[in-house]
Amino acid sequence: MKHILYRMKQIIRQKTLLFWAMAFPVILGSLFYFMFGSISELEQFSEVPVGIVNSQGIENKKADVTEESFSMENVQMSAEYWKEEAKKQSAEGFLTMMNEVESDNGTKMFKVKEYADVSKAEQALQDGKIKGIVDMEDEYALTVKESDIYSSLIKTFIDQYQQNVSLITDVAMEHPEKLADMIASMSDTAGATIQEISLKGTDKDPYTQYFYALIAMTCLIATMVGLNNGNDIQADLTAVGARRNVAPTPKLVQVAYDFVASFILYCAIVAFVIGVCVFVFQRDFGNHAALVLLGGCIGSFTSLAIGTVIAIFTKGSVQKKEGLCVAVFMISSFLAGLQWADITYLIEERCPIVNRINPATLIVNGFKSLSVFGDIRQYAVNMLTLFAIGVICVIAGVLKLRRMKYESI
Amino acid sequence: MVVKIENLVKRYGDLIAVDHFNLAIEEGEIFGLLGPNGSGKSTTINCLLSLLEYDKGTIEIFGEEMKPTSYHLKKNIGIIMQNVAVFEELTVYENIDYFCGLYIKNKQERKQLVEEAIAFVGLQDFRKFYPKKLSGGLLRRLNIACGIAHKPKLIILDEPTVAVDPQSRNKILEGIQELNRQGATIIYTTHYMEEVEQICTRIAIMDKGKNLALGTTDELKAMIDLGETISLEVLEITDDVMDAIRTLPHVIQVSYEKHLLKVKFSKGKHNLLRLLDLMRDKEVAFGNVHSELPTLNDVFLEITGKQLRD
Repeated sequence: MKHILYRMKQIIRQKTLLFWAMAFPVILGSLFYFMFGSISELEQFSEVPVGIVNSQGIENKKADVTEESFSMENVQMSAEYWKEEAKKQSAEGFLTMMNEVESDNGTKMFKVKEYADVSKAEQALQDGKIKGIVDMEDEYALTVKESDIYSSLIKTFIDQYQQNVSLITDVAMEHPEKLADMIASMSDTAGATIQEISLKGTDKDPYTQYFYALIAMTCLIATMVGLNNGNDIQADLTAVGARRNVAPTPKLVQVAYDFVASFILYCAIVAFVIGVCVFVFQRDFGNHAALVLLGGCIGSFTSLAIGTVIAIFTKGSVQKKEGLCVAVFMISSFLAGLQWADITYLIEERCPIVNRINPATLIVNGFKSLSVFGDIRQYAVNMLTLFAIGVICVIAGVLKLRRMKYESI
Repeated sequence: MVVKIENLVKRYGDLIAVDHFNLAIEEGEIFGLLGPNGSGKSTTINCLLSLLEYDKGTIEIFGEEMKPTSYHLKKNIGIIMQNVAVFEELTVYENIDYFCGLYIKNKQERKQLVEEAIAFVGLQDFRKFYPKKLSGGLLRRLNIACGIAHKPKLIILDEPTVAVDPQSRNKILEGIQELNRQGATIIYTTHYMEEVEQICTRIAIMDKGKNLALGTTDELKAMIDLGETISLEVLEITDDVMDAIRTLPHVIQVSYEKHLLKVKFSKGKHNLLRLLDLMRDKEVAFGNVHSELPTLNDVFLEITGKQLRD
């Protein structure tokens, strides 16, 4: 127990290591937070206040468009009828759609406020109460105070709506017999979209992946701790290693003490980083923070084992081994998408095996499958793979260390 | 017999670092392993501790073969490395406690031993200091404390006074003698002949991995022809006088450099008297006169033909 406590003290007092393991992820996380936070905020806004000038008092009806309502009988009606009907219903439909359209996170996209008078709407726009004015009497003309993400969103919505109305109207006029198919087709597309976004996970923020990569990187920095553990038991590398080798406590026992101490401490470090992500950077990891922590602990275990293996199996100076270790965790983190999120998709297309064995990717993808897809099975597979890599490293390290003899000191 | 090395051979490729080395150390000795840098002292010690694989020979400690897994033997061995072997992140107390803990499991016993070790090396005022805050001498003392805290029966010190100030050096040497008085057998490697002369009961002189000579200081000095070296301050001296000196009994070598006349005599009586009589007869004025007995450097020089610190 004393050995474990002393090893913990040693690690805690290594300022450089603490910087990389704790401060660096927090700094990097802060950068992510401030970089992506504003973007994410815009992407995940709850409701954009929009003023609708509706002098004719068109009713806002709940959308009730079903396939049955587009029966062949209706389709057989005259094109002129459909044209007029479309125009009449267009305004109602617009109001309905604007009131009911939802963003991916299930919240309403717009908060519609109707104005009978343009001047009142303009006053509200000036006061900042609404982000834009849509005049239904003037072909859905949009008036905004300034050009920003909100005005773009309203404009996109209007354009999309008008395009769809135009498409339906044209088909109704020229090929009314195909209208039902088209509606069905649009319905299928809508269905597909619904299927795609109806993920079981609750965290769909694309930027959360950067925080997963950040946690993975934090875990991988444990390779440096593992490296120190491995170096400090080798008589030909460090004077301390020589002294420990001549002690009556077997070196495997000493390494085990070091490993346990490092693991406990590093789990605390990972918990700290995850805590900062949850409480400071407002990442709830799809309400799976506990499993993310478990993954972080497994990642730390494997990273410690990898670091120890690098120390034991590679030849050369301490500096050379440290360089190799830094290269391993930086490359692993890069391949997991720390710097560029899309690289994992690229690797998945070109060389998927890398994603199956890269510890950082296993951690990131495990977290993603958990909180984005709600797929606990995939999470478990990734974590077991990660753990297996760690166990293999531990076994290899033990076998090598037991047989290790020194040619020169 | 505490240590017995027979026919030890250690090669680094074509280089023979230890060449059929034999050694036997009795209990209670302070045994000096003297030799220049690269003579094979540290390699021999590392083989003795089973840190290094060796090519040939047998090593026994406390009558048993020494192996890497001889943990029961290791319990009674203390090692003070040439390089300071402590953790930078632990304080003086913590370092000693940590390394003592590798030998002693009992907490109370260990606490007592650590305190004794701190007092022994005189680091009472530095117990909460980190190694990087200690001077070179204090750091060496900490290194020693980490190696001897568990009160080993056999203590191996591999050049413990390298880069140490005279005050700390004396403290260390006194400490080693005290450890010996307390019952420990000491193996002390160094290239400082004054140190082994001061503290060692027996000495082995090593060079190129070989044991060149073995014995007490007096025994080693008795192995060589040199009896004494007499130095005289002389302003001027002629060749005739130099030749006359060379004809004196027991003279081995005569040299004159920078107004200093040095005459080396083999063992014999009245050498100084004869030399001074001759100087008076030849009417040569002289100043200070010194007579030196042979040193271990003289022994090494005579055996190997080179200085110990070459």
